[in-house]
Amino acid sequence: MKPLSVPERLTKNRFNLDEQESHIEVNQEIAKATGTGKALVACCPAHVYAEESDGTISV
Amino acid sequence: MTETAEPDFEVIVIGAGIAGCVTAYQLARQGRSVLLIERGEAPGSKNLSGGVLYSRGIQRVFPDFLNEAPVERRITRNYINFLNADSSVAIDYKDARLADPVNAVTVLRAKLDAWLAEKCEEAGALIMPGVRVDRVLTEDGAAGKRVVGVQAGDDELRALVVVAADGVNSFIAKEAGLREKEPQHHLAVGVKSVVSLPRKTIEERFNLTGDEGAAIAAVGDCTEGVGGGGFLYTNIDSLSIGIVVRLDDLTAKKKVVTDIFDHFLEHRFIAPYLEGGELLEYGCHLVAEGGLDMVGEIVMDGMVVVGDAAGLTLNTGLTVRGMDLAVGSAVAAAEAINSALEQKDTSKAVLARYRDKLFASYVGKDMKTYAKAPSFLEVERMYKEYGEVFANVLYGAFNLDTQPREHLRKVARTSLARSPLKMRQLVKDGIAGARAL
Repeated sequence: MKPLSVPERLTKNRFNLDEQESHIEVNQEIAKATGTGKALVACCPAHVYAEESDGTISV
Repeated sequence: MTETAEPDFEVIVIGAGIAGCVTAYQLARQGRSVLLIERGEAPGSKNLSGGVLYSRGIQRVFPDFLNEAPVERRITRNYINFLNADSSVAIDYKDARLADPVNAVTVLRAKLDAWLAEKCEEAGALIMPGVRVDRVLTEDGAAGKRVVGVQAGDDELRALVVVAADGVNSFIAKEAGLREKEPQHHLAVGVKSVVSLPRKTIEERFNLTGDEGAAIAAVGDCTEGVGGGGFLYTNIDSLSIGIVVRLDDLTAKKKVVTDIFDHFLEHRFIAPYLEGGELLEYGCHLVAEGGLDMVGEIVMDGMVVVGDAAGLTLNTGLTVRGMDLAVGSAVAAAEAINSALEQKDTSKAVLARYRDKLFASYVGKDMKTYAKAPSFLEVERMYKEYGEVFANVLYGAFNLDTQPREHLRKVARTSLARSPLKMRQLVKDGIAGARAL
């Protein structure tokens, strides 16, 4: 099977975006204080989270 | 306590997965007015399982399940595999008895859940897809808080009983105070792809005929040593392949879950199965791994919790179960709810028959039998050293390099001495395994 990147894999799925009510919000203080932010980046198979250069976690 | 306010429905079920659908179906067949609310645009659109359903339980609910439901293949081959980087030691268990009567089948949830929802509608349940339940409605009574319905957006719907079937991360059970936040070692993340391949190719690669199916389970290098495992299941003309890794171990080992999944797909002993395939679907899911410890309070005044939401999943290392436990919990819940409605008393004391029935059934008994399995599967050595030692022993037996042979016992001792494993660990793990399984 041809290796695919995560974005390429996600294009195979069909999504209904809930644009009116985005339900993911990262509490930056808790993410920084507990190190949970890095765990979110590592654990999410859809690569929803990214660590920015200033250490904040973006969605 | 008895009900006083006029309900919109006798029962509202939150979540159209297997547990929710089977509960709704059985109650609707009893003539109960049932509303089944699903957050996804259609039942099954948000649901994901590895793909093996141990089907005897659901066949009791739908006697013609195997012929009527969108079943993929009937599992007759179970391949349990210690997968190392360059070697693999496996038990390849094939048995015609597993096909007659059928014991397990592969399913794709988008198809199966849609079929189950159709059955619910035929039985008279009302299905409301694309609706998110924001919270349960509660009232204070003499015996404490009582669930009396649900709120979805601006709509408030009242019922005599609410069934929380909203999955492993049940916001409903948490909000109602029935479940606490789970510790990380009780939770795992699953990543799965469905890969299309011609039917004939699958049958040749997995040595199958007709509607026979294979289930491969692997531990070791497939998760790069992180606690968990890999799976590969055959569907009619596709494969379900994935990994499940414990969140605590993934975090501790600072691994990235998608790197592990890629590693499994590209493994020298796995990649040939996928050769020429095309990705159809990519998904992920939170998985309960806590076993009996995760099953806490599942009943309160006016509400019961079923399926994954009740923590009912079981990984023994040999079998990974969730869907059959969901069916069993739904059967127990529907019987208890129906009886409570007949009695016109849906208090916790009466609904507690659900728990009694659950623990009198194969579901509760199996959860108890395998109560020690989760801690046994947390043994680090399972995911690296054991597979390597097994392979080294066999290498010593099969590698006829013109040197004089040694008895297998000595080869085993030498292999063990060269590994980080200690004999006392071997004994300890052996006893723990015997007790757990």
